[in-house]
Amino acid sequence: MNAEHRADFEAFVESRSPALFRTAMALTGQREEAEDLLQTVLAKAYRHWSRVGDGHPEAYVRTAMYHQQVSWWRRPMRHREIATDDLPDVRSADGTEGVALRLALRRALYRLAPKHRAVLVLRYLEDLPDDEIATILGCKPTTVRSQVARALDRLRGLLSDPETLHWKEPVHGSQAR
Amino acid sequence: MDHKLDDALRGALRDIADVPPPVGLATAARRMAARQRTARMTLAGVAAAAVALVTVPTAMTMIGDGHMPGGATPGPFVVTAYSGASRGTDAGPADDRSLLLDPKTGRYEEVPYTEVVPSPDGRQVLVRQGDNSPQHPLRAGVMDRATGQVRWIDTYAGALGRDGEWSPDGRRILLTERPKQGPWGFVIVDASTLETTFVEVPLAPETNTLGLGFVWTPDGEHVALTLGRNVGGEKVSDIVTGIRFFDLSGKPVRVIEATAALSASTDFSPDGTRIALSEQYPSQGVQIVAAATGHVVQRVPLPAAGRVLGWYDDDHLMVGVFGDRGHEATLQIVGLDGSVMRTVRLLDKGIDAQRVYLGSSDGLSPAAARHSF
Repeated sequence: MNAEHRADFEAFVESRSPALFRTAMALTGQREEAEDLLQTVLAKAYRHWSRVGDGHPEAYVRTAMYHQQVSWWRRPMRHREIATDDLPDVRSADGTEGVALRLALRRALYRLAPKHRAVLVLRYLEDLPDDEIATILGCKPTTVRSQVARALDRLRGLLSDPETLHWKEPVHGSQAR
Repeated sequence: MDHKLDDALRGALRDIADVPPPVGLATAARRMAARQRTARMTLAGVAAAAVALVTVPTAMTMIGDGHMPGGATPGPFVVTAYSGASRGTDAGPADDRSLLLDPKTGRYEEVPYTEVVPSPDGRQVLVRQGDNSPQHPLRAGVMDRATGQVRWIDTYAGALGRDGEWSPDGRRILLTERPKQGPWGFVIVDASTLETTFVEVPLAPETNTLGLGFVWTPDGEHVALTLGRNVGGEKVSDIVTGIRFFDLSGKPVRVIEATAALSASTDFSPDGTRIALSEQYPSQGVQIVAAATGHVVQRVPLPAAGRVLGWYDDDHLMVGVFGDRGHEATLQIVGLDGSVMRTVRLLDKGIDAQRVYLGSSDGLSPAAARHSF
């Protein structure tokens, strides 16, 4: 790794870390794990910077984050997920359904499996079309659509789960993943 | 999903993601990379020491039995160099080790350079070494392939840290000079005298080159540079907007609109009329554009993790397919319709390389010609 590559890498991280960290937060739901995820991927990018830096490093890092997150998810005991069947009827006491729904969704997203959360982040946070999501995840657009559908089904299930309503977002650690 | 849930989901994700990044990410990542490197060095220590006892204490050593790519049928091309080579057990990629084909023995020899770029005729090699630390200063030079002797270039240290390209006639080397402060431009190195000429290029300071450097055009009389811009703040990647051509005095001579990147002179077709431009993601394929106008004449799908290494002929591309460590790398000869005509194994499994350089198989000994395709 030469000095020029190091400078390029540092400039890249400095300019793009706000956006990359937002994605990492959305993928993991927790600051510690988001830092862990992004740092792991950036370390990998740094080791390969002479190849990565000449192309589209942000695309590399984003893609690597999604794959890393799904890979971590495959480790045992990394998360728990409770599925239920019914579409929730979320309604707040004061009628502000939107706010209540958003809070409930936030809780449900924390409990969603990372592979499902990843596809929702790409679709609803990054606003990417299915073909680009497919490119990042290395699958077909039809697979993306089916994954989104399954993720949304799971989200509905979690919303209807009473445990979700009483579940507290973790401050740190991985106990709720 | 109805619109209400749809909007709520977007809002919830934004809520979760709306957190400022930690400070010092780059430093932390570099340290993590260093720790991983140390761990791998520790694991590989015993084996490395054992190997060190049997390697030849010269600038060039052999890798295995020299078996690398190719097949039974001789072809016009051969892999001349694996630049920045590493094994899966190594500390990291490109740690001052590359592989060069010996045209006589057909063996790929290990040389102690981070980067090697063979000249078109293979007689000289642009080499790079060091990491600009006090112990290992960055330097680049021209190696005589026959003797292994290197003549070091002692100017433009910044440009020396970037990839270099040989001119089509093999007499000059093109380097990109892009200092943090000061004028941008390119450096032309006379390979015989090592005389360097810096050519300032009138690019606005905010010009976005997507990190890409200058490349030679096929006539050797111009250079070209990919230009881009940011279209969505931090949220989206920069996009390519065009390719600008300059004469060797740095004067812009023309520009073509483009949405994909020109990364090397080998992207030009053999007849010089077309360019294979790389899309943002390898799996999006390449665009074949008219060199004169930028008009997209064809789109070629690529395998995932594929990268165009050059044109096999006017109707086929050579595509390197690089998996991550531990996966076998291959070279595919791909028709412009995306059909794979031939697949050639590149590196031995467990060896990785930052770049692969291809050259003509003319003049190779029979032992080396077995690697051709």
